[in-house]
Amino acid sequence: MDTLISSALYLTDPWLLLAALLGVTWGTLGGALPGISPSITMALLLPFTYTMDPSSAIVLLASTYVGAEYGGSVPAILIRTPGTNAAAATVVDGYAMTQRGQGGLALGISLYSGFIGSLFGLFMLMVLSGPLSSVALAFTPPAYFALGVLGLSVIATLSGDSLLKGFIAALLGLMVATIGPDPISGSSRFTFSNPELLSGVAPVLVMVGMFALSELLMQAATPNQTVQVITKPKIEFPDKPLARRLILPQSIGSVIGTFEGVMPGAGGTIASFMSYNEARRWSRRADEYGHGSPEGVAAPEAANNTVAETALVPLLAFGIPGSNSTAILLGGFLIHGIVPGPMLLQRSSDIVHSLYAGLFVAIFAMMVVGIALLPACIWLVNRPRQYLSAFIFALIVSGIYSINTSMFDLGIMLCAGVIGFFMRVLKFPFLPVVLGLVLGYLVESNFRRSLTLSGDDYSIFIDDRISLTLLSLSLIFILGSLAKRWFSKKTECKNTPRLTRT
Amino acid sequence: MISLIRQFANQFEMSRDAIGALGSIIVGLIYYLLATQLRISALDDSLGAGGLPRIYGVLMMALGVVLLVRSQHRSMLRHQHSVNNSEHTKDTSIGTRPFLRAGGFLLIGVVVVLALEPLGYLLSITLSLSTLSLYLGARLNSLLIVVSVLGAIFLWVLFALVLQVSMPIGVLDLLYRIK
Repeated sequence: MDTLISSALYLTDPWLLLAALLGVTWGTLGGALPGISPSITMALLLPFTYTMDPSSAIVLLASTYVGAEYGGSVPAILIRTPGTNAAAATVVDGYAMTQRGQGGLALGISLYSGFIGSLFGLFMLMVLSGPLSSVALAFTPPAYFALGVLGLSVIATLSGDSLLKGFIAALLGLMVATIGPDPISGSSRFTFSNPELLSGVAPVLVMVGMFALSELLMQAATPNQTVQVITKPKIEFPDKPLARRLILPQSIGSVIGTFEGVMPGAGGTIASFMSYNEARRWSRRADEYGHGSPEGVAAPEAANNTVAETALVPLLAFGIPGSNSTAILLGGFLIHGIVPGPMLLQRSSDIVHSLYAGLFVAIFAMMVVGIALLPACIWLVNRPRQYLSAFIFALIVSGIYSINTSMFDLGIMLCAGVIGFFMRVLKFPFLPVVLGLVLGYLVESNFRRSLTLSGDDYSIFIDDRISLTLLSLSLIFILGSLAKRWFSKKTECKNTPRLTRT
Repeated sequence: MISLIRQFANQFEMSRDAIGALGSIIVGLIYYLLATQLRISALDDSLGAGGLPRIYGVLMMALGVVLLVRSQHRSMLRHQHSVNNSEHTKDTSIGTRPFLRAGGFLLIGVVVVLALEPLGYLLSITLSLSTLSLYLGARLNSLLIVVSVLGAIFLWVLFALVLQVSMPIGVLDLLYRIK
């Protein structure tokens, strides 16, 4: 309660309010541009914070982070290009809604769910910072490995019609994740003496190629089958019945987002995929998922926006940056001589309380910025298909080039696009590739660290309680999905006359 | 056994699943071979840098084989079914025309990417917007030119001015020097 009152006092500071508004606007813009990650968006602001007062500087950076995490969903919904890694799960149903002419509603659901998730995340950050941070510390390498496996278990649900193809796609992602330095010895793997591959393949290159470029190639391949659906250039918020329907996926997303956010390294991507999976599992309309389900947008958006707040828990409590974005925020703290960690609340309580207040303002500013900017984005997407496709190509080339000003990155993106095109033609799902790629390093590094710690004793994964719980959950999820598939196939076979079954 | 393989070979159908399966087997095999050639480091753990990659490679090949067998089993069933019922079998082949169209788009894209540094960002993006729009069916008129030029300027302002990304200047730099 004291925290709430102390934080509320800062809500009258005009500089803080301005910093929050500017941060969210900048972040939304950066997040909406493919290739410009939240951390890049924040890093671009870092030089400007030198001359600002510490509270406003921290609020500016944190609000940028909040805006960028939200902004990633805009291109994911409108042009099938996730602006951030965490927005990859939003692509599935968000883009399907746009194709049905419901882009405005999808953006409204994303904004509304992001708002709910962010508020919930902020509440958790303020009230449960202490207990949640102890959860983060309890995570050992076996537990992180199990967390990665739990993330991968989602593949069983995301594989579409063929589980076998889903596993092959996930393996492809895991293989790409092994490119670069070995997590234990540091030796290079599959780099072919190319310095550009020494740090591995950035997931964003593969995602933009597979989702966006393959879509453009598909449209070029089948011009007659591509029907452009015009969406009203207006953002639509869900009506009462739909809002009620979204409560469950939003709750699932917020809870999973809280859990994932407090763990350094877990991040919004796992949270959004797991939320999507769980929301689908518990939904009465599970069949609508993948075909433009509003719940399929709400769950991942609530999750990744919750993570934007709860990811600050390990940073504030222990000074551990769990992601690139929180590392930039740590830089912002250090520039002003503030060291996050156990003593932060004692030594710089004013900074922490102003951060809470700034984030609160930023969440509301996110709604205002969203409502103001999104109609223009929808208008852009409604332009004639020929111009729009050419513009999307130019946008993704610009975005990818701007990451490292590297031609090699563009080459990887083009290759990923071609692979994505063939995967589409051969009906292989994309999402397992993204999951494998994002989780590959986490799984491998912690699997091997655990074995090193235990002297190659595999029982370490069972002895660790968190690991055992997460691995059991993974097994239950996988078996549950398999059983569900088996039953639905059996029912389908019963309902289909024998002669038409092929 | 040989007759079974011969029957399998005779009825082999290049369906989408079969192509995907063969691709998986080839990718798995190449990846596995590369994984076996990874250098052993003195800092390695018992599993080593190539441990998991080798497992991934083998798994990929195994899943590819399962997919191949499944696809052929399905096509055999379909074949049998169509013979019994004198029905026309479902055509699973993919025409080459869509691939050529997508290839054309990709080719323009590759040219644009290659031209990015020598031509400069502004010119290459203008080129990209105009050629790709034309390729996708837009008419060559003043609208196309206006959209291409304005689109390129918009992206240049966004990335080079607002986000301060150092985009290549290319030939424009040469003109600037001559001036």
